[in-house]
Amino acid sequence: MSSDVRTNFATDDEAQHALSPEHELTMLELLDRVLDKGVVLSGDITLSVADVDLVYVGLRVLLSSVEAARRRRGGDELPPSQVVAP
Amino acid sequence: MIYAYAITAGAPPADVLDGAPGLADAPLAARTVEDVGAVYSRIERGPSPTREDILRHEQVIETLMRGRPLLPARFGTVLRDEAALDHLLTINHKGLAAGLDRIRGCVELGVRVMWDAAGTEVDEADHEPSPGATTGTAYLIVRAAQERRRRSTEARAGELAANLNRLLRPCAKDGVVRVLPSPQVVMAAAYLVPQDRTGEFRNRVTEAGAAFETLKLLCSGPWPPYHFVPELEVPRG
Repeated sequence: MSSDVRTNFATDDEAQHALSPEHELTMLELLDRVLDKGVVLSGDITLSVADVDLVYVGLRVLLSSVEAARRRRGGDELPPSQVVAP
Repeated sequence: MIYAYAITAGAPPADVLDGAPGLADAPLAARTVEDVGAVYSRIERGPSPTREDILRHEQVIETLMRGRPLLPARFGTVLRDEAALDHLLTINHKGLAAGLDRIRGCVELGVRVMWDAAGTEVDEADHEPSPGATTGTAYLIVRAAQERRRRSTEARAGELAANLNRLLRPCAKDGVVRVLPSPQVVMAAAYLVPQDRTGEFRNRVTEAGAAFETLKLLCSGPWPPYHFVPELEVPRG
C-alpha cells in the first residue's frame, strides 16, 4: 500500500494542510527537514532544543485530534501507526 | 539582524525576490560572492518555531528553487549583518559551489515506511513487564522475551529497508536511509532524484507498496535538497 503526497508549500493555501492526516504527515516530513537539516550557516541557530520539541508535541496533539475526529465521524480510519510523529 | 533562507547559484532575478515575501513579510534581498549567492531578509527579532514562520521559510525556499540550484538553510539561521553573510560565503565558497553542483537538476523525495495495522510489529504491552511479573524469575523471563522481540523487529526492519533501498536507490543520485527511527516507522529515507526521473521513482514506490502488503509507504516531495547539503566552516559563539 502506498501514498503519494505532492508537496507545494509555495502555492497551496495553508488551510489545505490543516486537517488531513496525510497532510499532517507531510508537515512532519517538513519539520524533519526544516528544523534538523539544511545548510548551517551560523553558529547561532536561534532555536533551542526545547522549542523544537514543543513544535513536535504540538503536532502530536493535533494528529491525535484529527484521528479522534475521524473516528467520531465514522470515516475511513487510518491505523494509529500512520499518524504518529517520527 | 538578517535571516538567511538559502544558498543559490548566483543571485535570483529581482522579480523572483519580489514575488516571495520573507518572514514578517519583509522583502528578500540577495548577496553574491563570485558565482554563489545567498538570499536573506532583515528581521527585527529572531524567528519562532511556529507553523506560520516554518511555512513561510519553506515557501520562500520553494519559490527560489524553481529553475535554479539551491541549498536550503536550516530554519533559524540568523546573522548579525550582511558583512557576516559575505564572510561566510567567502570562507565557504568552495564547499558551497561544490554543493550546488552536486544537487543541480535534482530534487529531494522522501519515503516513509510504516508497519501497516495488520502487520504491525509494535506492541505497547511489550514496553514494560506486566504488573504481575515485576519480581524475580518471571520478570527476567518477560524481559528476555521482550529483548528477543526487539532484536527480531530490528532485524526484520533492517531487511525490509535494505530491500526497499535496493529497489529505489538506482533511480536516485544519492540517498539517506534511517532504519527504525521510531517503533512505528520501518524506514525514513530521503533520495536525491534527477528531475527527469521523479516519475520513475514514484512508480517504484507504488510497486513497492503493492509488493509489501504489510507496509504503508508514503512518498513525499519534491522537497528542496535539505538532506544533501555540505557541512560548512561556521564561526562559533
